[in-house]
Amino acid sequence: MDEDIGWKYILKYCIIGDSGVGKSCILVRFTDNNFYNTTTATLGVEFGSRIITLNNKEKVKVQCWDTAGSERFKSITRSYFRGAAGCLLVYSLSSRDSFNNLESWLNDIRKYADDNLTVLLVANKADIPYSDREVSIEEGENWARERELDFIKVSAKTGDRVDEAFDRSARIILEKLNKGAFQPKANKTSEAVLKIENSKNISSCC
Amino acid sequence: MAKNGLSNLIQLLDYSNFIRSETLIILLYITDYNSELQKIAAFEGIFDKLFKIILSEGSIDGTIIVQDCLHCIQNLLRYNSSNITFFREMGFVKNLTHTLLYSPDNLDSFSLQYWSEQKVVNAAIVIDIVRIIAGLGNRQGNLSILQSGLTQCLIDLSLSSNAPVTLKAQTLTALTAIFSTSPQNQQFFTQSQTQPILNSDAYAAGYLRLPPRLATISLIDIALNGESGDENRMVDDVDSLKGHNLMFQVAALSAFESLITSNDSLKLEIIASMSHTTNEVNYDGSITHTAGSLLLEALSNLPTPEVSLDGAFDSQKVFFASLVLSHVLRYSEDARAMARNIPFNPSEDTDEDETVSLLHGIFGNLITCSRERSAADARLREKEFSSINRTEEPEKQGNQENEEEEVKQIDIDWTRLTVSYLILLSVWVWDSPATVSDILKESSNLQVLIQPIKQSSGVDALIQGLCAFTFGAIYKFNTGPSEVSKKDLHSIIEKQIGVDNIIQSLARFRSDKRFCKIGSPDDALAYAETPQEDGWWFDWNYVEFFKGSFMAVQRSVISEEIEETTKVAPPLPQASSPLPESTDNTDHEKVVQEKDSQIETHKQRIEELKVKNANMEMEMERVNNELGEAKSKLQALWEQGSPEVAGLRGDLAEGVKREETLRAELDKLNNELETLKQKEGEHKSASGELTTKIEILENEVKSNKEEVLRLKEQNDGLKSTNERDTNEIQSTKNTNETLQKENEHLKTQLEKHIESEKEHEDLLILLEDMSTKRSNDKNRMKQAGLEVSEDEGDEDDDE
Repeated sequence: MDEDIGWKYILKYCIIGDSGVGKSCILVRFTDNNFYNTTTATLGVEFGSRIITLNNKEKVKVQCWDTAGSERFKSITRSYFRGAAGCLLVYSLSSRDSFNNLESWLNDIRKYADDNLTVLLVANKADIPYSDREVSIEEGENWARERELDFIKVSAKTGDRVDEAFDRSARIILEKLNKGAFQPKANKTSEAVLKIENSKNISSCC
Repeated sequence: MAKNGLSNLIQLLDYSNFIRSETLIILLYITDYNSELQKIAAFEGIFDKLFKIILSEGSIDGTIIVQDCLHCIQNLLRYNSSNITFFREMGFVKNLTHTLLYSPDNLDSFSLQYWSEQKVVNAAIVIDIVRIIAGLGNRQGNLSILQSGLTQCLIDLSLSSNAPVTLKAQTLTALTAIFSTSPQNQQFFTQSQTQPILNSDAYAAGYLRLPPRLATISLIDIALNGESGDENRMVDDVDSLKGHNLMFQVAALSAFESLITSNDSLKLEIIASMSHTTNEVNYDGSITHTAGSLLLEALSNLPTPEVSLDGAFDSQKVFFASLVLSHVLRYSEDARAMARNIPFNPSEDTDEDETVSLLHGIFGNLITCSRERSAADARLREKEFSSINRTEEPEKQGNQENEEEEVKQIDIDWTRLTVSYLILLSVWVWDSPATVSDILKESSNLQVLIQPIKQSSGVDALIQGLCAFTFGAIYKFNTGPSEVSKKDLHSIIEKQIGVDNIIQSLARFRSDKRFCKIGSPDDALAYAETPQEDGWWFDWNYVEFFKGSFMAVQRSVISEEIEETTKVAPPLPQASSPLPESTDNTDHEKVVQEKDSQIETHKQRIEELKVKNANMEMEMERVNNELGEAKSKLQALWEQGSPEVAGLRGDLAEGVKREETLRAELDKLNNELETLKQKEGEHKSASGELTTKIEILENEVKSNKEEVLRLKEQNDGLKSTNERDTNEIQSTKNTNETLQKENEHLKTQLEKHIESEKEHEDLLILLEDMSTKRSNDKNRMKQAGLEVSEDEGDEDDDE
């Protein structure tokens, strides 16, 4: 695993959104470059990781936590918001409900996650024909613009732009990092540092 | 769930005082069952913190704090595949290697270190963690174990270190899990060198390091002999080695099984090394064994009855050798075939007789075993009898009991030997008609198996059951050409043994405690760890083999009809028949394989015929010589004119006749040889054709696939253009509509316009009319003498 060497940061990501919008498929496409037509609903949280290269030089390890979308896991999945550096908020172009629920997801994020969290709105299932769409691209774009989020349209099935979703958000995170938004790897234990460590989500590699 | 509770708790691990240890204990409980909490803990970076503590506390040299940390890691990973993935992908596997204080630079101090009780406990947990990661059957996981140097670490720890036997045994079980899904790890192991260490006060340094040898050999050595060296190891508590040694053997056996079961080339390699001559004698007279020679030595050396009386022979060694060899033979007909050619005796003894093969040698040993068993049985009864008679002599009684124990032990030893051989044979014959026909060449072989099944009492249930199983397997797989036909075996079953007896024997075997207590792979090891009175008899793999196979045996024995034995006679007409065109690749391959096997059988027959031919020629020569002698004798007699002449003449005639028939036979054989050779050539060419056909077909398939791909691409392109076009059409339509509307609007406007113009015209005309009327009137008025203003007239003109 030569690619294992040389990564500089670990970025914690979480993928959230209604159940059935294809969160797990996005993860599998990202980590294994694969797509399964039949997947079961995620229980709790699943994990996957991959190393990506940004700007042709910087390598970061993306540690991705794929959360369950269904309501009964919300108390568990919320634990993963805080401490994440990046978040893919996913809805499906074929489900109006999943789009309508975005607001409540975003509220959750604002409530539980760090202020520095980079949220990317992801419209999944871009491969489906226009006739089956319940939400238009423009609506999503407008919604994201109003809330100052980035927007991307992907398809986990075809793999279209999934990597770009991670690339783009990772670049934004790194920019924030360079501006000193995060405190990588806090020093030793003291009350003040503990607090900073609470919001720690990037650690330098050993 | 309390908000951030767990994460705050985990932060407390950064303290370095009692808070940390208390936190650890709480975390141990929290992480025990709930997999969601385990995942959140992983998310919160608990592994980092735990390994930091472990490192700062001196890794496995550390105190109970390290043990708690390791326990916590164990909790987090057990039954939690998501966390195992996390652990692996975040590179924590390497930390395990560091935790064991292993690095390639400190091999010497690693292999010879002081093992405190705490250290053994700590190391055992680390190894269990490895087992958990490897046990997932995840190829990638096992690969990361290899890449992080953990495999090397485990090999060194288990095979060339002074670690306690229990720890070594655990390490071997971790290796078992690692091998099970990872050919790369298997290969790494077989290429590794090990330097076993013997601990003993007899050596000046307290230990002896053996010369390096291959890891596979070390592994087999352990399976056969257990830990070499004596009990004085560098540990606080000296293990009660007897039981743990058995555990070590069992662990080595299962590691070996895992190593070899899917590794055909290693199987053949080991079988190939099974000969008495492959041992190398070192300068100091000691012998360097190969993997195979270790096995063969154990299997072929049968203790003489005199030795056995001293109780000094090791039935356990034979037992494990049988199990090891049965793992080699299982699933591989090639290995079985090769093993049939292994000579039983050391090569020096071969001049007197033709060499006995290992297979037949084992049957010979079985006969000895059954004899010795009954002898031991008889002695035991005699002892019992005499002890009843001599109850008055108390001073002798103790002695007597000791002796009785001894005899009993001998009885058990012989039983164990018998069971060992039967286990090996039952695996050997399974699914191997060639082995069966080899066994049936010697009719006495069958008798050894038949006897215990028929015996109604005094036979161990294990022996009886295994005999029935092996016999049944021989019957089931007697499908090739053999001396005893399936029909004959069937009548033996019907008339001599009885179907019921076989079924009963199998049932008794299955319900025997020694067999049925092994219910899962872990049981075998657990029972080896805590030795019980009735001993350790089966490993899981054999139990599983038996359970999966005995029904088939039973069914085949019960069924009245004898399945038609498929004749192996060469299906020559088929061979030359033209091939059907519609068959696909796999069929072709099958056919090729068939042809290959046919070629193989033909080759064999040719070999046989050649040998026969040579024999015939020799005999012919001999006859010719005799003939010559007879002739010269006859000459002499003729000269003497004696009455013997007549008789000799008759002899001569007979001799000539015999020669003639021999010649004819030879010719016939030669002809047959010729035709067979031709046939072989035909087959070869046919198979060549087939291969080329397959290649062509494969190429076609490939090109087809490519075309399909290309077409798909085209299709995609077309689709997108299509979409674009429809969009355009839509927009054009829209414009069109608006245009039409405008058009209509314009039209109505135009109409209105036209209408107003008309009105205008009408008005003009009217005006005109009016003005002419008026001028007329004016004129008339003028004429009438009325005054008319000129202005108005002017005005009129203007109009």
